[in-house]
Amino acid sequence: MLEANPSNLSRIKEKPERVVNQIKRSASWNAILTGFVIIMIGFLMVASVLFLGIPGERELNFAISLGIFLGLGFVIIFFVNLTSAAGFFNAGAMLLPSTLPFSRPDLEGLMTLVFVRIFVAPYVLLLTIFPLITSLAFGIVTGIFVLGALVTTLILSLGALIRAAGWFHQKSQSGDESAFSVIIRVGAGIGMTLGIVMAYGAMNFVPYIVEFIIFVSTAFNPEVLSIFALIFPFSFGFVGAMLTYGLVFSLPTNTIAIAASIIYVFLSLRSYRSSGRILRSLALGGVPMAVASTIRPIDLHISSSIPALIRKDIRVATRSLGSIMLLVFPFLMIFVILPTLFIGYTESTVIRSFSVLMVVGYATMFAGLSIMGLLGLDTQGASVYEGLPLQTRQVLNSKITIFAISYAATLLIVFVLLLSSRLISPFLLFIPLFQLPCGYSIGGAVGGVIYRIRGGGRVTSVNLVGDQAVSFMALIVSAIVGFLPLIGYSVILLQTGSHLLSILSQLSISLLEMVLLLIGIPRVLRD
Amino acid sequence: MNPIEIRNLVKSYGHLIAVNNLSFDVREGEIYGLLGPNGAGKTTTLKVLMGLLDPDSGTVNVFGISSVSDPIEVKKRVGYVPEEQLLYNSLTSREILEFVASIRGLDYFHAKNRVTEMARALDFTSHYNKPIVTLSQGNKQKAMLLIAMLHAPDLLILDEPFSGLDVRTTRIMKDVIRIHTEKGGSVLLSTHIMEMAEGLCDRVGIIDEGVLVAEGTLEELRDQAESEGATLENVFLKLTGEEEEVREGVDALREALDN
Repeated sequence: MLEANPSNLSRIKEKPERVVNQIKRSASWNAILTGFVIIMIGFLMVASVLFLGIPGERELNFAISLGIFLGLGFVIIFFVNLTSAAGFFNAGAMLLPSTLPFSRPDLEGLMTLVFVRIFVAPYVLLLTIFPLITSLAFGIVTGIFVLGALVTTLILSLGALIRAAGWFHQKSQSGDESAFSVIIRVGAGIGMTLGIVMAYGAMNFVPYIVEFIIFVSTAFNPEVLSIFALIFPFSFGFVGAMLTYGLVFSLPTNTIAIAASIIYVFLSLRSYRSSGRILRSLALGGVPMAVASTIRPIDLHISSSIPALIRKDIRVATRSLGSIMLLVFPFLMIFVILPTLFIGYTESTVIRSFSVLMVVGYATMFAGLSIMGLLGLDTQGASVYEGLPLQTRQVLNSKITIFAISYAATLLIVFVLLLSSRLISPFLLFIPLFQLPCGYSIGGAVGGVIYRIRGGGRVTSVNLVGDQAVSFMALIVSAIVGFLPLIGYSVILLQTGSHLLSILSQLSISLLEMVLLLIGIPRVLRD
Repeated sequence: MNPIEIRNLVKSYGHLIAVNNLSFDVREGEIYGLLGPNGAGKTTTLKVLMGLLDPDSGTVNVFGISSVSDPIEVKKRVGYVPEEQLLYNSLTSREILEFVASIRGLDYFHAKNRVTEMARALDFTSHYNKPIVTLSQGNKQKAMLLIAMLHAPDLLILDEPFSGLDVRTTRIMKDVIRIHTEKGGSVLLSTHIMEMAEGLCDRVGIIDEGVLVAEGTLEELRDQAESEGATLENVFLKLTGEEEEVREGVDALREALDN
């Protein structure tokens, strides 16, 4: 945690209790959030089997739902803990034990336990809540089997996490400037962001996924189930269904599910044994780093301060996977909002104000996380910042500029999509355009509030994954600032029915917010 | 006007008083060493000087500018090397220096010549385009010195600049500091390496538990400690009242190792 946030490292002497509390709070938030997701998905799965399943399909529903739950458990452990797990290799937690007279297997076992300690709360929650729910709903035998399947799944996710975190650590510390390397890193960042969004958003889709698989198996060929029975972690789902309802599937499906489950248990044991070895080599042996091989003549490219700050941020962002993940958030929103815009839209229908407001609102709500990601870019460079005559305002302005560009790009894509659509009123085209001043307002409000609360008004660095309380606050602030113009539009439309007046009120509120923040932000900042 | 003037500085962290009524000056052209054991309040004093921490009371001026009310102006006049080596690991030294030169608004030719000469003097040219993460601790320290001296500051504030450096790099760093003062600059450095302070500093201030227990040249400190011909280490132990404590500790250790 301290390594993830050097501003804490440099200020820990000033207010140690506050930093310690912050670390504890972050861990609690992580556990609460993960526990909430697990409980929601678990209940959803059990409820869909008990109350929604059609007789005859209930067994299949159980098998697929359990498989999906195990898969989500894997994804939650893997993605949510990837950034914090990578810090393990820098933290030096194993340096002292490595000097003590431990045998190599003992040291490797100890390393695995210390590594697991990082995310013990989600592990414990996963291993207790869901087996308990299934025991109560389907009987003790099913509960015990689910516990075993979860242990296997979590060991496999641990193995995957260790390997991926090692790669992540290596890449995020690499100064490789080649375009290919940048593409790989940016691609990995986008993948990771999608993974986290999917992990937390998955609970909305569980019934649809189950429905889809059941549809595929019944509509095409029942033997398609044998393929699912082979795939991890659905194999466990089918075996679980057999233990609960008897041998309800065909012989090949039953056989494949049992055989595949045994193989996955065997693989998890192998993965556990090799985890300690990999951890030892990463934590104590380091990782190979890319080194510039040619000595180039000394040169400098000097610009004015704001472009220099922006260029530095973009350089750091494209070389650090954790930063990329947050920087690409507004662009990710484009993919998230597209279906929302066109749900129920056909050539004969028109897009109404509500749909456009929803799309712009959705992109706006999550924008706070992006500005947080930008503030987090300076976690590495505290020693550079401390000696520089940089005004807090200058730093914040550079962050706002980068954020505003990505936010404007998101809104302009919505605008272009609306250009080619049939709208209930042409004034709807202006909704994304008149939201543009919020690029400044959201960036300024979120940045200003975080600098004020976490840094006492000075530049400070925040970590989205490590400081979920601030992440939540960023979401709230960006939602308030970003939604006000849209609410203004909605209220005036409901009162007058005039799209022209509505759009003018949206523009007025957007501009007013911007002016107020232009005046207000300097007052909360300190140098 | 002295480059540094600190008067009655008090800074506490909760119940812990880190710096207690501290006053001292750093004069023009001198190397002033702030000596003290770990946790004595050295780093806190330097951070207050740089405007990174707010004092509870007292005044802290750099070239007559208050570090509390105008830290930006102070940072324009000062080159600062903090104790922690928190650089942007994924950037190269060139990229960081470009950033620093841009923020300080330096002229291109001036900055380029300065970097070229400093890099050659510090034997850093071959590391200039390498990512920070690939540099050794010594080379990171050189990069931080380059960053601090890029704008040819009048005053250098160095927090434990010799920690973990090899003999060659230490020698280079000492020479850089001496040349800086020969050209009229001033240096305030904190260290707990007595030999370094003895060989390098014009005056030293000994700080213990946040209080300045003694100040002056080595000769003046020997007089204060009534230890003629003693090394700075012995003077330090006597003035901080740790002489007896250290002796008892060594005796206890000897006994423990004998068993």
